[in-house]
Amino acid sequence: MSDNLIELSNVTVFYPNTEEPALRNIDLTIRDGEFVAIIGPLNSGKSTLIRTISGIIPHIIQGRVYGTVKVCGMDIREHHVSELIECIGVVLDDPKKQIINLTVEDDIAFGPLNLGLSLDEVIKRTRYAINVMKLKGLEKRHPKELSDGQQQRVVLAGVLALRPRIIALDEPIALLDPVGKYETLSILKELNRKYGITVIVTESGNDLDKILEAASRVIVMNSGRIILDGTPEQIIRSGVLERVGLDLPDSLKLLLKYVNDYKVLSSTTQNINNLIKYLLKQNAINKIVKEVSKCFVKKHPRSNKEVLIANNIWYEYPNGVKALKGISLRLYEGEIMGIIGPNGSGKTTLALVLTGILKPTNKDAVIKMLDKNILELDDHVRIKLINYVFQNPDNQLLSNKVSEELVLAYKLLDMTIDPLSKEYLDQVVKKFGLEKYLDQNIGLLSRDIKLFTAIASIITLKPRVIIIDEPTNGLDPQSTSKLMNIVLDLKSNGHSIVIISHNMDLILKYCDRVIVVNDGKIVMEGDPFTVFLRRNELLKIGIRPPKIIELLYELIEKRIIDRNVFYSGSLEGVM
Amino acid sequence: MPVIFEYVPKDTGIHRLNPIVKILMLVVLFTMLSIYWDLRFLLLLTFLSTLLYVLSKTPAKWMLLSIPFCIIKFFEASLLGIMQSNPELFKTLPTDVASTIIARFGPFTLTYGGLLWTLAVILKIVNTMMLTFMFIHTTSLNDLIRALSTLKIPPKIIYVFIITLRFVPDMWRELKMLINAQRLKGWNIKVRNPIKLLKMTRMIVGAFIRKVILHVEILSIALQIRGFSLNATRYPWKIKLTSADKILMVLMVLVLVVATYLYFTLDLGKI
Repeated sequence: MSDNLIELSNVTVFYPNTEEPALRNIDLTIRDGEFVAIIGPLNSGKSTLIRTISGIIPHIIQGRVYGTVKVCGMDIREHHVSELIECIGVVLDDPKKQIINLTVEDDIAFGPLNLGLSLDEVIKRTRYAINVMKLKGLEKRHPKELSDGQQQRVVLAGVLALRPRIIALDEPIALLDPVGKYETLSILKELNRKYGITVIVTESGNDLDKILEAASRVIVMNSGRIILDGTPEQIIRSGVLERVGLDLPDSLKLLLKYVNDYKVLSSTTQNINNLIKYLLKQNAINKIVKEVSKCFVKKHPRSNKEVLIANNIWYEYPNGVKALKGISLRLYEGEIMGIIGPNGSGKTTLALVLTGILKPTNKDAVIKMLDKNILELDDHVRIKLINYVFQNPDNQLLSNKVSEELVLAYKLLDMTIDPLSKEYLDQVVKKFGLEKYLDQNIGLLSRDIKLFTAIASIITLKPRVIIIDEPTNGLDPQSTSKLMNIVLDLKSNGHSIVIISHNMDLILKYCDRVIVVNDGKIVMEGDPFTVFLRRNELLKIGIRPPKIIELLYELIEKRIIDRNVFYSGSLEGVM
Repeated sequence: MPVIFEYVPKDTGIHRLNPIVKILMLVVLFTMLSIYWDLRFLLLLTFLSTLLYVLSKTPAKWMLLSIPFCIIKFFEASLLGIMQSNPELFKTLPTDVASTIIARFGPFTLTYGGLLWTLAVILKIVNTMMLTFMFIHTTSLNDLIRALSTLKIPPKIIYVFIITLRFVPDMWRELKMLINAQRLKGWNIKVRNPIKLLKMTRMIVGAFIRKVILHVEILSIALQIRGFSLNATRYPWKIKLTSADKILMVLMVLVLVVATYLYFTLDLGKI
């Protein structure tokens, strides 16, 4: 048998009732032992490719497949998904929904059970997957009690227990916190390098740098076509990323200006000393410090007008879990504040309490906005002062059409749409670029448009404070950039924005201030650059700062540069 | 946090029972619940169900769900007088006692027979829910699939069980989140105007159905990519029963035979 595990020849795929193909004339060969990253903007065909090679299309989703698709020598049209699972295992884009059972070990054993294996073999495979995925001690736990990264590992273990030769993962780290992303990619690298499993991952862009670091081969897709196939370095240097609307984080682009050898940069997670030696040799450190100082160190004083004051907030869930433990914070006019923290640290609970969806469980809690006590206000008054955009836009969307959704709040609150409101609505539609989607069915829209609709529908209420939970999840860099421009625009109009995110590059670039929440308490607060420089403290609670900060931290620790250089504006002390 | 309708692994005697024994136990108890109308027997069954419920450490608050059903049944059965006027129902209770009027509420009358019948219906509902919740709380999905496969239940029916058991808790969570998200747009279930209330509810239902469809689609894919196939039953294991399982199985079969015999020959358990 040849080394080729996957062979696609002139493959075109249509979804039911569509005339535009989702994949167009794809020719692709993937060899045994490769770690392939399939990257591209939203709707470029990445997920369809994964679904096609795993047989989900045409066997579960009734698409039309033209051309030849062979996986482990089997034609996917002649073999059902259940016959392909010992060759290719699939992890869907939302792993939580792939967990079937209610204990970790039951879920991992589910696949082997379905294969009709003996009990001894099922137990053997389950134990093997638990060991490889480092899930020992969690066997009897309910998967939903685990962190996102651990849940991702449970799903991977479930697939691994089927002993497939290939594991294909659709956006595997998009929904994870920074440590979850790191853990998942480490495991995937280990599966590939130590156990020889062929790994295929897709990525829309916000974690592009991390995926490129792990992959040995990168396939770039756009509009259903493969437009480039090469090594990570070739892809980065080709300029194709910008052309298809993908982009690397600003901090990484800055480093790439001074590092010609991508291998040096991609190995920094394991060994940052190589990069430091390289930069010292290139005499590039002072230039980097200068640019960082210019781009990422916030020097503009914020407004002193407090719009939101929260004092001593405690919240305990009915099951006794204390999610918030005496949180106090201030939010200022026209400020973008980031909230970061590991999964389960209380970030979302804090947002729900601030917006009045949950009431603090202590009597002396204070939440005030512009001298009004938020805790005593009715929903219909409060939501015009402070509002919240959920992580999953599907939760926010009630109507069938975008146009109906945008005026929904007016209807629900019995507000009349006067000419002034109509003008404002038109402005919002234009700002979000929703003009051509107004009459479209919301259920059929892509994630970015759904998110824009959800945020726009909240903005129509003109709240002074808007909390956005994980705004960049599932977005490509182009959509992220568009969204953040809108956020900046809101800021300039005096709105205060709170962004809850695991995207540290986004926090570094856009936030004026960041608070770090851990175990229901605020453990750090300050401008993002300064907070991220407390790298070791952050790592202890599961936060990994952007790569450039990791570099600067090491430079400071090694006394190559002085911490004050970023704030003084002088380059004295830089080697 | 586990929500309603979810299995929770615990070390209780009921959890340790073979799922086939639990299924047999449910079949026997449900059969008795369906044929018995005599309150004394139903109270005995209620005692047994409560004992199982407590021993399995199933959360007591799950039973709050039975309250609306009991209220609806009470109004339907006692006040509206449905059924109790049917003399066929009363096999052992003298007709004059059954038709004795206890109270009048406008055009409705509450009779002694009607009250007994209503209480019997309510006990049946409570028992059925208690036993079902106990079973769900103590039986993992894998165990259930294995047990049903061993009993040669067709995969399509097993699939319905999986979807339901996996699906209800997830949808419960989703519904709570959906309602919270909509409150932020001014959606309010506490409106007094019934037409507005209906409109508000309709909106949530529409969005919820969209979520349900999406969820079922993903769950269906998730099951199949983990090897679950509608066309095959491939659980080759033999049933391994412990002594407790065997004793309980024999006991249950005996109870069923005796109870049915007494019911048909001596009218025992009839109202």
